[in-house]
Amino acid sequence: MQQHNVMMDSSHIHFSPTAKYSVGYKFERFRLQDAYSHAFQLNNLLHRFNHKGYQANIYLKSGLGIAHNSDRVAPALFSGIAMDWETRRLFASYSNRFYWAQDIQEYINNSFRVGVAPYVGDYGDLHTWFMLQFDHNAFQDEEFILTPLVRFFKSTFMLEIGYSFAQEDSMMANFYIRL
Amino acid sequence: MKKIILVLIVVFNMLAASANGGGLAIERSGSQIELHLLGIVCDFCARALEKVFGRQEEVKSISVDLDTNIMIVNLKQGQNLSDQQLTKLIEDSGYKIEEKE
Repeated sequence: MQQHNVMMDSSHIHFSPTAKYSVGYKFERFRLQDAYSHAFQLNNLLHRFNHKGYQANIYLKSGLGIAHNSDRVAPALFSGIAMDWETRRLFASYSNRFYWAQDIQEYINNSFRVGVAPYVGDYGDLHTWFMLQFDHNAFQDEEFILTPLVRFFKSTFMLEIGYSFAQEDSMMANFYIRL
Repeated sequence: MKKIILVLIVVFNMLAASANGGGLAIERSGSQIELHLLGIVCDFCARALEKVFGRQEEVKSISVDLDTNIMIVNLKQGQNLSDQQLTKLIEDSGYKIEEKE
């Protein structure tokens, strides 16, 4: 998974031995602080609600590693809860994330997203979603970010492209591949 | 006394069957198994099922219909999968088999 937004660029490579958890490596570059983070990340599926017509999930995502800038290296840790609810037509999610790396970087992110599919695609089709994401970042210059985005999803590939309205407007791009 | 025990067994079995909702929505026809699933809302769900079932030597192919939430498992000749095995494979994929009403 690769993500690019107002605050950071990130890559996450992970392996899921079962549907219940995944382990992986997360790299982040905090552009405003010119700092970098490398962490071991563990994602746990705390609960999945499987019902006719919808699915909902609750995840715990945590990581431990190091962060560095041009002056120093510091331990880094993060943790957060992510929840989503999805039908074939509608989508809603909420996630939070606390990130701390001594004097290098610290923030709490709350992110909300809603989405609607303009058409319901069959298995193997190109799926399209129109989404709206709202982020609140405590302890950051970019405190409020609003991002309309479009999600394209086919086979094991997913691409999201958006435009973030913030103090410094910016493009957002996320790319996921599931092997 | 035997009659009382027999009646108790019948009542217990009826209660167990009703608690189970009449069993899982699994239908078999020759080498084909039809499963009615819960939580299948996207292609990623179907891909997860393909991945898990693709590792089973008994399985020839699968297909998933997102509209009906029905998954068809085509078995290799002479092979079989029990309801317990199917339940475990579906749960390993992250989903559930619907219970019959």
